[in-house]
Amino acid sequence: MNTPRSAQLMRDARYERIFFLSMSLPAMVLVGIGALIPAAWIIQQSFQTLGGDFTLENYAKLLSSSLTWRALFVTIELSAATLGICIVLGIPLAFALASTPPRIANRLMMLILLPLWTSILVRTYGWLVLLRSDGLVNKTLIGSGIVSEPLPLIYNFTGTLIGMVHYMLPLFVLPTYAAMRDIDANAVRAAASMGASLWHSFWTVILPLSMGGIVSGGTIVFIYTLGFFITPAILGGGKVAPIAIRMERTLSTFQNWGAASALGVLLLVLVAIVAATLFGAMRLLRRHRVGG
Amino acid sequence: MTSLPISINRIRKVYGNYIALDDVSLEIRAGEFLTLLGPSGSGKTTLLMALAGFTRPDDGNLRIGERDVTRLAPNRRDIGIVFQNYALFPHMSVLANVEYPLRLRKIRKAEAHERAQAALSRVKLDGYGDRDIAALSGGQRQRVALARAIVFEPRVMLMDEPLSALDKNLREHMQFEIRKLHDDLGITTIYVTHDQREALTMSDRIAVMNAGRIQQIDTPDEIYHRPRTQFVAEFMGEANILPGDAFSEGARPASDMVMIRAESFHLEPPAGETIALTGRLTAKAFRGENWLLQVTTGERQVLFSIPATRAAGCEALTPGSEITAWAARDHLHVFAREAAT
Amino acid sequence: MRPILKTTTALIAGAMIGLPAHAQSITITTAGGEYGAAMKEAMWGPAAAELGLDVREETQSDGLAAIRMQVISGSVTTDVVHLGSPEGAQAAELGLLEPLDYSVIDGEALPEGAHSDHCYPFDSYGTVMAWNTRTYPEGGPANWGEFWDVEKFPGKRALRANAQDLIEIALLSEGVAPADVYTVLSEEGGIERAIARLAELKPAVSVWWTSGAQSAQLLKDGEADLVITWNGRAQSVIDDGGGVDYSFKGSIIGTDCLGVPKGAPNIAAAMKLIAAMTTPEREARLTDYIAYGPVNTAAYEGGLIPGDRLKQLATAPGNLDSSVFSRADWWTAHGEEAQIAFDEMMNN
Repeated sequence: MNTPRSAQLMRDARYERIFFLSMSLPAMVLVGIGALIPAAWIIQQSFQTLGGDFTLENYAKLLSSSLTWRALFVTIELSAATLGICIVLGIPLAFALASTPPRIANRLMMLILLPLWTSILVRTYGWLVLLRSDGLVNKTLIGSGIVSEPLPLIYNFTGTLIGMVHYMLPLFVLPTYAAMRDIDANAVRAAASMGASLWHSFWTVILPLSMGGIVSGGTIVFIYTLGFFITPAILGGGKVAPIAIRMERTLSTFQNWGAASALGVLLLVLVAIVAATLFGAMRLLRRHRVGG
Repeated sequence: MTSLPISINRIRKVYGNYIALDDVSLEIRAGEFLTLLGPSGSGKTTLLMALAGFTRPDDGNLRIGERDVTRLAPNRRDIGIVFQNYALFPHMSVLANVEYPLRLRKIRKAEAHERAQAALSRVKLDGYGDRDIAALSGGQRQRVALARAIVFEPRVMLMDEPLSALDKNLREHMQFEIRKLHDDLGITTIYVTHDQREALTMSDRIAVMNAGRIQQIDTPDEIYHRPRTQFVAEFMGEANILPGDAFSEGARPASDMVMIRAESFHLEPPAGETIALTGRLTAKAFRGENWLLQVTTGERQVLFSIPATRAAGCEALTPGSEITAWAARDHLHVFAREAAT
Repeated sequence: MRPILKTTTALIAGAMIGLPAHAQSITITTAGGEYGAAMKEAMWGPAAAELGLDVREETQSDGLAAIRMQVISGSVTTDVVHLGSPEGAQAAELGLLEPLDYSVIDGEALPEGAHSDHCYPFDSYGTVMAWNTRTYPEGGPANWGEFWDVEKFPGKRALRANAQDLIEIALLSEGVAPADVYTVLSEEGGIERAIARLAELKPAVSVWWTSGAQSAQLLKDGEADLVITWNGRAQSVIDDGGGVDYSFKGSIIGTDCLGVPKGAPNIAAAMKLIAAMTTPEREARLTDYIAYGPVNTAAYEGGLIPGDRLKQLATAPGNLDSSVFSRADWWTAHGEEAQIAFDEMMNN
């Protein structure tokens, strides 16, 4: 059917599509400039000598160095530990929030998000003050007789982990809470009416239904931690050296952009692998149903 | 299947300044189908939630059979509940939803499967077990919810406006099905609705609620024809509430408050003792099965509902013309004085 | 394209030099900030006036990157650049600097070990040992050997997370003479020897610090009892009233230097400016503003620097015997090897 009118209407529809597409243009340009170009530049640098010639040496050196593998291990160790603690602390927290009346929960959520409005540097130094040997935590522990010697809480893996979890927990709780808040309260009531205890409904209904939020929160935390610099730099005392720290050292002590870029590419690949794995997990999850 | 009586004794629930349940007492017989009917905010859902254990009453007690359940956790009350929004588990298949209460009771897999299939078959969903909840229509979802609520053979069923999300035809069809299911299983059922027609269609008895109190508990026929209060009269259908002396024929003392349903009127006097009302037509409307005439008599407005089958002449009526309508005298309901508020 | 551009630039530059009567215009690139202002007041301001030069200042936090850009693109605008000596050595290695004209500049004024062909050192700082006076009321370690002695000086150490200076210090702690440090390091197994010595101390190291501010904080909070840091940082903690002391004994002296970018428009004038900026008087004058010790030894003669300031300068008389000038050229040649060995030691 190709009346003049139908042609007009089709054109209208096309213009409308183009209009809405064009609205996303600024964002797309920004992503292009802000993410793709630097990434491309880093990849290019990683294949160059200081003089600008093509080389594979950056990678050859990187992959043969025990420092790289050590950094890779520490990176994954730190990310996994941060994620693990975020899950253990964050899920009950999100559940408690989701179970309180929305007005109170919103206020509590503000409190939880408050740290995000403070500079990460300020917060990390805050931990430095709290956790050092004559800091509040150790003074309290010693004062109450729980320990006799100050615990080594900073300038090591423990301190780094505390700082990381503090930063990441809100980022985990937010999507988890949102997912739990979205769960139909009647579904939980229905489970109870059929005889499920709170514990049982949590495992069979609440947890599966909030899995989407948990996975996105977990992905944010894990990937964000992979490339994190400030917290390990300040609280790690030089003893925790994930990839981001190695990159900085490669740059600041060797001025070697090629080697640092190669490390950057390594991190990029790691993030891509993790993202792809989690993405796949999400898709599986969506397709998966219990029983049936 | 044995079913149990329910005893609600002086249940009170207050939210701030708002009294949701004002010393409500109610006895439901074993195997009875009782409907809590009322406008929104009347307390009917609060009462249902208190029975289910999701709302803690401030005072009073609840018994199911011999057992005081007032302080019992919801998961120990052995009650099947059907919610307005179905409350199915979207991450499980239809069959897994129905098997859920059986799994909780550690029933063997094969038996659970068999019983769930039987329940699905009872709600006419044979072969739907493998489907996703998302792939079902609203009516099918409500059937799954029904199957899930009956499959573990609870002693009591609570239904919270289960049909209000469905369209009219499906709703009317499901009313009969739910009633039939109840008759087959004999489970004591408390059904909440704000739809008076639904209540009349389905119930053994209806408890009409308003402002946290039960206004009247009776059979549908009693509730409809012999309402105890003006509220019940008006809530149950088109009612004309008038002083006794408003009638041009068969008048009563002005101190009597009387009620006569709009559909009791005829444009010709019926046989036997009659009463009559005369007034001026202000508006008219054709509603398919009847004509609705709005008439002013004195300062009052009254409604006549004339069945389409004997409404010859309604078409020709013009607003402003004077008309008289008659009704059988025994259709007149006189409110008891102390209750006529 | 590039040769044409080069020729054009040269032509323009030539034309400008050819302009008569006006004061010659010459550009200096500094780090800016307080440091840059001090250099202007004490050094190039008076020098320019004396030479009749019109000096323009540009500020660049990364001088090496700036001149690399200029040289690679073929449009060099800077005549004199202020660099850290390690960057100076790196720039020389990359061919970014003109050789210094020692017929104009005074090479004799430099102490042994501070000499450079391409970047003329003019001020200095020391990497020193600092200690908490509450932990050690009797005084800190007398030398690096004692710094390593965890029985005589129990307590938490904090060291910079960088091989620079530390491997020199490691050798000093084993009794290697200051003059022999780089000889030993350049020998087969020299770096390994220094790293092994650091590994001995590692169990006592509670923090590997990464910024000067952090090292000062560690000292101030008493989070570390013995810290290897820069003298300026240790001094700042003392100035803040922290219970801290430090010693220039065995310090590793780092220097900042002035160089002339390859192909600079006014090479000859630049050499003259460097010579005029680094007279004893002007280097001494710089210490009025910041506690960076003159490298020109004559600056300490004739009482140009007040006594209380002298105590804060790494190159002050009496310190030099036990100190080692950090050799930027050695680090350019061996830095990566040393740093990797150091990182492996640190991270294992």
